[in-house]
Amino acid sequence: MVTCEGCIADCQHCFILHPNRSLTWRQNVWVFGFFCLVTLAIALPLAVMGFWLVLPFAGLELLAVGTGLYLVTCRCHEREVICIAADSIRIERGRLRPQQRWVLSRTWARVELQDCPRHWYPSRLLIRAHNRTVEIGRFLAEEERHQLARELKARLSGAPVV
Amino acid sequence: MSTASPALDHDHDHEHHGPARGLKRWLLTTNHKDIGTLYLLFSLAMFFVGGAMALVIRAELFQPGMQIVDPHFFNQMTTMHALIMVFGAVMPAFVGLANWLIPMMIGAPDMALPRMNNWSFWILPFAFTLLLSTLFIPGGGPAGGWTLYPPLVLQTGQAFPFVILAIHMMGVSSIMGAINVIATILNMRAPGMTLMKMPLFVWTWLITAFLLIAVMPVLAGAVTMLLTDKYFGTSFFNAAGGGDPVLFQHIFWFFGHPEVYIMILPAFGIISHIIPTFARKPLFGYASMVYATASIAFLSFIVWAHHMFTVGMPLAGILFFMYATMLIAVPTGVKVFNWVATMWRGSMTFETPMLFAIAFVILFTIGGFSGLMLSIAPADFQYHDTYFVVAHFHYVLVPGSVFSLMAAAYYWLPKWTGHMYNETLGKVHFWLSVIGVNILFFPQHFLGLAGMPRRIPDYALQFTQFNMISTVGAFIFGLSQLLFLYIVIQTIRGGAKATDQVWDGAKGLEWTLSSPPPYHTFTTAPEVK
Repeated sequence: MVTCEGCIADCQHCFILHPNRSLTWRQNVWVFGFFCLVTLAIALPLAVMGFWLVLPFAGLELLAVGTGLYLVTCRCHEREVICIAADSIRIERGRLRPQQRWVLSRTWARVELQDCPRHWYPSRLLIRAHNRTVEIGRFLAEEERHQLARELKARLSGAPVV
Repeated sequence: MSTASPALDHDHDHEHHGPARGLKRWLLTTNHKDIGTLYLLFSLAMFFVGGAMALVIRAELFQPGMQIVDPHFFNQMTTMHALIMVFGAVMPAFVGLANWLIPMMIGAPDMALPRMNNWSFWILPFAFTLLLSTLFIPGGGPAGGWTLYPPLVLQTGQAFPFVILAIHMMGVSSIMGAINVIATILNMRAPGMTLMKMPLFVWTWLITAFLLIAVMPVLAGAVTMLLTDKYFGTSFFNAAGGGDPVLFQHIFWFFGHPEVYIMILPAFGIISHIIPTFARKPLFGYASMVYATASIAFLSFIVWAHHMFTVGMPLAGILFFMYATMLIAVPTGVKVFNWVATMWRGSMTFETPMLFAIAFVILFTIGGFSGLMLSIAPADFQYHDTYFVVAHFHYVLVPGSVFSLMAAAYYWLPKWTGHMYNETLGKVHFWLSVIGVNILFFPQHFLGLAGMPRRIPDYALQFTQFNMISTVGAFIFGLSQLLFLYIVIQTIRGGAKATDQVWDGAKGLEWTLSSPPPYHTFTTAPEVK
């Protein structure tokens, strides 16, 4: 999903990209809590009755469930912020705060939408400047990526968006 | 915060991001459609392996006396047939359908954890190679039944640790599949797709995945305790050491009964898609279907001891499990009522998926009724461990789960392959299957009522006729599945072009995609109505 915002700090144009997500962080914690409750409600009484070997498997499983949910939630909360300033393009990527940052020269920046040479695969949206290339919007739907490419090209050239 | 180096950035430029070709594509794939296909093909292969074992069993039982195999091998066949059909055919087939359909139904581009999805599939071929290889180990494979009751199962020879390891591997695969399904359904639904707008197949799979997460550690713990009892001197189930073999039955069935629902709930979801399509009416009582599925899942945790009424329980325990089991008929009845109400005054047509769906409703209900008979504790003392039980659970699993899988294959095959299957051959396959399955399993009710025990390679003369009929049905049903294989291969290789909609009454996001759908789905954000 792409959110366009106007001037923020030194940005003339700002695009905030994030993947679709249907559950919040807090709701995922509740889901995991529910799994812990059910699994332990089964495993602990069995352990008390002497079948303690169920407990380590329950623990391992909860670890796997927790890790899986954590990874998915992290990925769903990723953000890419593309800030077009007067003389630079700043791209930031991260979750709660920017964890990666690229600054490219606006003068030399080129937006490129690469279609995969192989059948069926999604396109890639790249911003190039000199010998640096940054891919953005990997998690976007194809149409969203095409629309973003058009908007970025227009903003960089100063032409109106088609 | 890090600033990526220019050189590192530049590597993106040369990154190879297309699908690999040939064998590598299938080995390394993280695409939900590829993995779904792998699961479905694997389960089809296992269906034939397990089916061949069933034919060995039925051939031996064609007439009294020992004809073809020795009793020990017969017992290995009954055990392996069950393990393969449960863990190798039915469960992976539903996981395959989940892989193919859930992302397309909820408007997600793929499963939430694609790499784990790849692992969860590729564990299976190793697990089943290990399990099947035990047939060639000195002492043979497991022969104590799929329920692995001690002390009988502890008499397994050198194969025992391999069997336990194979079961652990199947469990790991199932858990990883379940985590993926839950993470995908909860986190990756398209905007607007609230929980109560989800297709019923997605709902039933969400509940199934929850059941898997809840009970798999119990199975893992139980089989590991068998292992430690045999090799490490523990006495969990050894009465001489202070343990109790009956407690194994309790924990096995605490896993085993939800497992039964793991194999039928996704089938309910499939049927809830097919009947409205061919009745050209919306599903009657969507919300009640969701609540009924959740109720069945809840009840599955509190009925396990109906599998072991004869083992000796306090009267209060017997009564509790008897009444709790009977309660399951209520949500199941809601479902059957809703399917029938959906068909009522619908503009019905009878293409192959609909034929299988109608057969499912009728024959699964027969299996449900015999289950209700078995839930009556005093009657169960008569039926327990007889062929009546065999007839009951096969009616639930074959015209139930397996027919729903076949219905699903015919229903979605045009979407997957882009080709229509041969309708005439599909109908021939249906009629051979439905006739074969009834000739195979219906007489087993009478055998059980007359007292023929299950899991025996030889029997008294008075059971001969019904056994002969049953064996004839087995070969009709078994051989007719070769026709199914032919139809599937024929459809994959070509045929009339399928439209995107395929069935005019079909509803759902998957039908908005092309046939076959693109490798990566939803190039435009789906619109949920």
